[in-house]
Amino acid sequence: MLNTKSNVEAAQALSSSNQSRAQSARKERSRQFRKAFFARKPVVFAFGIVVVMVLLALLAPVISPCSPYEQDLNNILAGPSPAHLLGTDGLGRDTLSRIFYGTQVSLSVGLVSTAIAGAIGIALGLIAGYVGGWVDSLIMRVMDAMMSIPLVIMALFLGSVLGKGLGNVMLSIGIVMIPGYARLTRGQVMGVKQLDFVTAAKIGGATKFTNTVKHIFPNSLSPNIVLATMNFGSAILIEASLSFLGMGINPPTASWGAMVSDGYKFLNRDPVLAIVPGIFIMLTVWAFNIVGDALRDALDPRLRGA
Amino acid sequence: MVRLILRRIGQSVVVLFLVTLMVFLVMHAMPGDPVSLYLGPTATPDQIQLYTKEFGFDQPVLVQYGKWITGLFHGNMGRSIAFQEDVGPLLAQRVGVTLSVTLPAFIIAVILGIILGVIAAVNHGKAADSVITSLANIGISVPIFWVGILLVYWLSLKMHWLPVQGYTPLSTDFELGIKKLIMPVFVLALGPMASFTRQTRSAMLEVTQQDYIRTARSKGLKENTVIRGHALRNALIPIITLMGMSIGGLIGGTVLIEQLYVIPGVGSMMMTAIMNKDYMVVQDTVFFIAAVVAVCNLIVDITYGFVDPRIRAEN
Repeated sequence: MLNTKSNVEAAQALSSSNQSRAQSARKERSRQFRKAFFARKPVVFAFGIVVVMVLLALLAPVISPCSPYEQDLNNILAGPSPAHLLGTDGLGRDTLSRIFYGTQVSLSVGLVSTAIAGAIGIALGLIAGYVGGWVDSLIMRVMDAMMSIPLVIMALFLGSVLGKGLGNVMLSIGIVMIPGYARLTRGQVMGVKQLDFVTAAKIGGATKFTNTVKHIFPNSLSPNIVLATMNFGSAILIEASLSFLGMGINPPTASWGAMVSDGYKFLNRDPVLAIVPGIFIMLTVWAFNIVGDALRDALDPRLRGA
Repeated sequence: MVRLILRRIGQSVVVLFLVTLMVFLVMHAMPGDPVSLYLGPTATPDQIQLYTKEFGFDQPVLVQYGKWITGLFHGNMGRSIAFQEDVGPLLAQRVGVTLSVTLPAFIIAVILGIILGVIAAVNHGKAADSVITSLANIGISVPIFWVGILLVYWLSLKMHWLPVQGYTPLSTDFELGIKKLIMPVFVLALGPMASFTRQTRSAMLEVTQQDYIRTARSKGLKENTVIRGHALRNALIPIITLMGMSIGGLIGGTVLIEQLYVIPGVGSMMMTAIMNKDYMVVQDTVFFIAAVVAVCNLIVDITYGFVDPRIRAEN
């Protein structure tokens, strides 16, 4: 009796020590990851910008001094003043508030279009890579065809068919970015599916579907996360370009690209209108690119320091 | 080598065929018919019927597709509703204009990009490397239309050095033509130049870690010879791939640049067509751009085979 009790205790002690060892290994891994991720100074700065932009987007209604749509017709194209820190635009709207609200548009376009592209692209890549044969050829040739049309042109083309507006812009940018994920995932699947643990799972009775979802998919995730971070920036840039061309977000919604385009009309009188939103586009895209680079380096030890 | 080239041409043909199918299907999935969209709400049924018949929109979809494809093979790209002209000659007029902006931009981007990349790699970890890398990272993040506007503000409105916008053929007035091209070419070159710099730098850093570079150095070759003759030659391979890939970005950029600087090229033609809902022109320009990109990539892949004996051997 006593013996059994001590056995149970010993087993408990062993399992808790295993648990704590696993925990400390996990902690160590995450510490190493953080160290590799923040290894370069610009990354800290870029990460800070990403955090600030997310906060701006979330808090825009609280911190904006005015409504982004409210027109102060007595103060059209006014210079900086305590009431309007960055002045007002051609319709008398507060520039700073519109920039804050523009963060919402840019980040939501980045988020949704990356999610659309990632979900469809990864699924297509998994199917192409695992099923192989004519399905693979068909999917990949269609991806090649999509890739042979430049991103902006393809987004413009889809936008011209779908129409303007936030949802349609997200959808067209999302579709445009699908091939990147499909290609990347397919390549990963081709590499992973030869590995022993996949064969072992197959022998253990895993169906093609479970094998793909449970074993191959998680292993192809980290390069896709890197791609998604980088695409986040590209999506913001494409949205800004479409809005600049007048094919993006419908007015009066504040979009940085459209603000640059509107500001261009008053360049001589009030250059701030075109210059400041552009700085926000550049900073945001730059920050996501740098964070993407750092993620890639941290997830792939071979690239560290390159 | 011949087999490699033939296989690669075959692939391009398949891809372009899929592009035509994709573009056509997307255009026809659009709600509403092109004629009433173009003519607007004031159009009478008689007008709509007349235009529908004239442009063949009353025929079955498959017949329309067949007509478009056979037309493309014969160099007949269909008629523009808005311009009331054949698309082929319209496009031909504008290709030259676009080329006069894209070609110099491409050459500048490649040359300066490679030089800056090599300088950064050779000075790895030093101040020059940090400055070049930071600038290149900004270069790939910056919206080119915004840089274009900054230049207009500074060089045209403040300094009065360059005209704000417009296009003058070099044959008409060489000096004015060049002046008008400076800003568009520079702005267009910026993004690809930054990409070339990044790619060259990382390819050079990878190559310089190889054993054969150590061998070259240890046998006493001058650093210059090692970098130019051994490192750069091998680093050029990924750069050539990037050249093919950057063509697409460059053409995408022309749409923005041509809008900003009011240049009557292919990009502005596409924008006008989109605004006018002139779908034949949209369909044709998208296909034309895809074809240009496909041909450029084909050339790159074939060059690849010539430059790198390993690829030749593999095939």
